[in-house]
Amino acid sequence: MKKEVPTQIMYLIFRLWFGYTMMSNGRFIFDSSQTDFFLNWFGKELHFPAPLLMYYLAKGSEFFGGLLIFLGLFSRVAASFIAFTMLVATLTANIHEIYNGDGAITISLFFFACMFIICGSGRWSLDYLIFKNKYSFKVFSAER
Amino acid sequence: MMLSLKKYRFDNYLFLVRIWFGSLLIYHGFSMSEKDTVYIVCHWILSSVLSPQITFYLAAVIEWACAVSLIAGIYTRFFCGLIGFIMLFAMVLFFLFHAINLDGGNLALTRYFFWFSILLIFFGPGAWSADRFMAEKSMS
Repeated sequence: MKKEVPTQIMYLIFRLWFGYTMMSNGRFIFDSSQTDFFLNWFGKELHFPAPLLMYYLAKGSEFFGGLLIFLGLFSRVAASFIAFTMLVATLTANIHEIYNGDGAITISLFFFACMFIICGSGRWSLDYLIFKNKYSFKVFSAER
Repeated sequence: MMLSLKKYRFDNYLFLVRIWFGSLLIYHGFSMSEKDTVYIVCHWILSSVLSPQITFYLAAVIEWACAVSLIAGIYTRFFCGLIGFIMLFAMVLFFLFHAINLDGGNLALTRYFFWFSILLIFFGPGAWSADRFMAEKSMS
């Protein structure tokens, strides 16, 4: 138990940072001056059907997924939405710059989100307080 | 053994993260760009001693060494500590002292490199690494 504490502290800081990062990426959902830019990008450049809906789905997943991860509530579900959004962003918008620019950013965020899908919220989270999900943090290296 | 996805899911994840992080470092080492964070930090420290050309190669060697260690899983924590320290130093120089210039995408990647390093320092390279192979061999 004591041996786990530094890892739990690091995991908590990592979760807070990732949640905050995703919220700041998705904050444009509340900024109406950015809507035209994203509609133009999604509709005319990426040829998404229903660009307004896609815009709200993508930015909503980022903002509310980030908020839930920040709080440590339903982290696995929230991280799944973020991972799916980042994967779609990588495969559609950034596939030609996978090692540079936005491609590297979206795929890195995808990997970070995958960590929360695998490990859950950790011990210091609302998930643990509410559901007492004691198994959420016991999936580290199999032969440790 | 690798197909036991439930038992080894975190090891498989760490393996994929190491491959991704290592390949990113190899790409940045080959690109020899003036926007590369490792080059910027090396240049800031050594500009009075080394020419920019040599600093490019020094940054590339650091990135290649870290990339090879990450992908193979050899001395992963040490090399992650090195690259994490460089990224932290870059962020301190940028945010606190405004001594270097990092553009938006590069700054985000610097932060992600730092967190990938921290992640691998705390959790280790996982089961699919030379470190684990050597540890098991010495124990047996």
